Amino acid sequence: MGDRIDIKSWKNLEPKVQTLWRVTNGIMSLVISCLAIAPDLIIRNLGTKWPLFPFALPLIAFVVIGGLTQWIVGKSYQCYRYELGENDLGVAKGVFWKSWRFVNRNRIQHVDLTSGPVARALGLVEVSIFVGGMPTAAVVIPGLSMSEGERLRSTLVKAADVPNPMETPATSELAPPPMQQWEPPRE
Amino acid sequence: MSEPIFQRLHPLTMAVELEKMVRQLAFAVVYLVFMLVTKQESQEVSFELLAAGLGIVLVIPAIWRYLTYGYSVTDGKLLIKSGIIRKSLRTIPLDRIQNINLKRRWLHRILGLVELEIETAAGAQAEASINALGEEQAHVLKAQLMGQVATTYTRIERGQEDLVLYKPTGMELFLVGASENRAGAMIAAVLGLSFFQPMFTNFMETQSDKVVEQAKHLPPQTGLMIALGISGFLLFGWIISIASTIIKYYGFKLTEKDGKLKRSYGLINHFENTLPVNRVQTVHIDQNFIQKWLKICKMYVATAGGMAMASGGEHQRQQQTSAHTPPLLTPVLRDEMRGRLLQASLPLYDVSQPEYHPVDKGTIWRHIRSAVIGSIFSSALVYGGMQLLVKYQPKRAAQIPAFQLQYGPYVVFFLLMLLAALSGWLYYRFTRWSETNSVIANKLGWFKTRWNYLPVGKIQLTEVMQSPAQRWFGLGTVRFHSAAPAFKITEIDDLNLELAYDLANRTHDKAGETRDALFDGF
Repeated sequence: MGDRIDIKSWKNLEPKVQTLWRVTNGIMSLVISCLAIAPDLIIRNLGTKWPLFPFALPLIAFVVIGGLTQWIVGKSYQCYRYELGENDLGVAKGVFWKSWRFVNRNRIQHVDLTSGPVARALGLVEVSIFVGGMPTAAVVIPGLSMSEGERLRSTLVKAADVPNPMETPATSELAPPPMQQWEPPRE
Repeated sequence: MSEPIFQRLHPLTMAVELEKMVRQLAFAVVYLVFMLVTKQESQEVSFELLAAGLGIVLVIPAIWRYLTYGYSVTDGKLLIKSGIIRKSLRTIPLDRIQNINLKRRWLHRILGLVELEIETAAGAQAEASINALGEEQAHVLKAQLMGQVATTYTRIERGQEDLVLYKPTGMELFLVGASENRAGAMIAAVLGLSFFQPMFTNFMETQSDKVVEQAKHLPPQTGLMIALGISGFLLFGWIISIASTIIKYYGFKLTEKDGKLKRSYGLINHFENTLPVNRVQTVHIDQNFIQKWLKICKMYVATAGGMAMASGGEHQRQQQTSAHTPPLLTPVLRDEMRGRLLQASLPLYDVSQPEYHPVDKGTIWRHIRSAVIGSIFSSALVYGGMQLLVKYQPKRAAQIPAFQLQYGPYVVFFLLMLLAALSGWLYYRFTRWSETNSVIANKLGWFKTRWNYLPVGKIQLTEVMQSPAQRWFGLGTVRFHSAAPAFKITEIDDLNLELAYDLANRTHDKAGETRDALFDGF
């Protein structure tokens, strides 16, 4: 067994990311609760006795969803951590369903920095890291400061480390894989 | 850099293009024919005109494509140009090619043509498809793509004879077809057809009404009739399965030469795939319980390209949309030949004697714990249903034995829990994993067994996951992501969390250092 990994010692995101999450979750719960307007109207117009005040459904939905998503922000901030190792990157996330991902630096294909309008106002960027064969980002680290995001990107995409696959002597070794002699199974 | 000289396709490409487009617009064509046959007075549209319009729509693009398409192999690159107004030039470096497929569909075979498909690691689909070449032209191009400087057919270096790795007998093909049943697929096909074609459904309904009318005059042995119908359907599915397996894989041959595996097969549509062995990402073996008894199995290999390896005529369209079709290496394999083929597809690793470990015993408790909420929910549903029944249909409720009303929900709950415990035990009993010789291997399932082999060097990303149920028992799931689109994830469920961490950390460290990493693990 190797060294025990201590997730608690990994780096947290910028604290400001909580504001970002609160804002986006607020908008999202507003949009979702708007969907409840239609059933609310239908029920009230059907003529059945409706015990609650008008537009109760969307309001309840907003309070419940909004409350839950706001409550989860602090927790997920505590759980979202990352660690830049010597030649790898680890990202831990998830409050209920936890996931820890490890990417080797040699496997990184490209790195994206993105930031939306709210994130830009807060001075945050999101770093997405892509590996081969996966159409979506393998690892996403939201809410880093501009400088930290840039530092992460420049350390991760250090092309000079990786030997050029077409020019190393090992390539010629690789080309025809040595076939081992096969022996028929003994009865 | 020399100026590339573009070569044209075979003139008969146009015919092939036409056939392809007819196939793509099959619905429209079938619809048109159907309209013509069931022509009704009220419909005033001239179908002849419609047909002529469709013909023009089909023919012009075919000619267009022939006139604008050109390919060339220059300076270690494959160039493909197409289009007049919207021109495109695609460049593929030869050393990035994952595999080359030669296809001969039925029309190709009549006209003596070959279709060449070239795949890189970029996506699930073939990156370039050179639609129709003469037999000689195709072999010259293939040799060029493989890095030879051949200009004519006679100059291609053939080297030694191909080493035949596996050639199933007709009996084995029959057995593998017989041990599977396609009835399910047929039901899906009929349902899908009726979903897309309201007219077809109407037709079916009127016809089936007639059948029902006639059936009313028959003696009322419905149970027997239904049983006969179902068994007839299953038998039909079985025959279809045997026939399609034999037609599709007739004359199957798997050979090996210069580190490349080659498969060729097909009775009507003929296929030939070549794939470099060092591009193999993962290997899988499947065996259901009948096949276990017959001592045969199926073997799959996945590369980073999509590999249209499973390709067969009618599944072609489905293939292109779904990256998750299993890439079959051989449709049937005798058990004693497994070692040989595993060695041929993963020559750098010895996977003959993996040291298998069981998963953590806590998995049984985890299965039970995972099922608790669902069981409570379903028994609550049963309880609620019964309450409603008693309230609104007291007469019906009175006919049901009292103990069923009283204990029904509890019985449901305990049965579901028992089922969960059983599935947990089966999982614990039959799941094995190993990391012997830098290959992650696991073995899953009891009804249908699946062996997975993933060399550590091909791992792109490792992940440890933990669900709330797993946290109770200190368990975790390790996932290894590879670059092959079909078998992206190799998963070991319910290991001790410490072990899971350790395994994930160790393997991804090793993945970056292995020789395979030079090729980005592809």
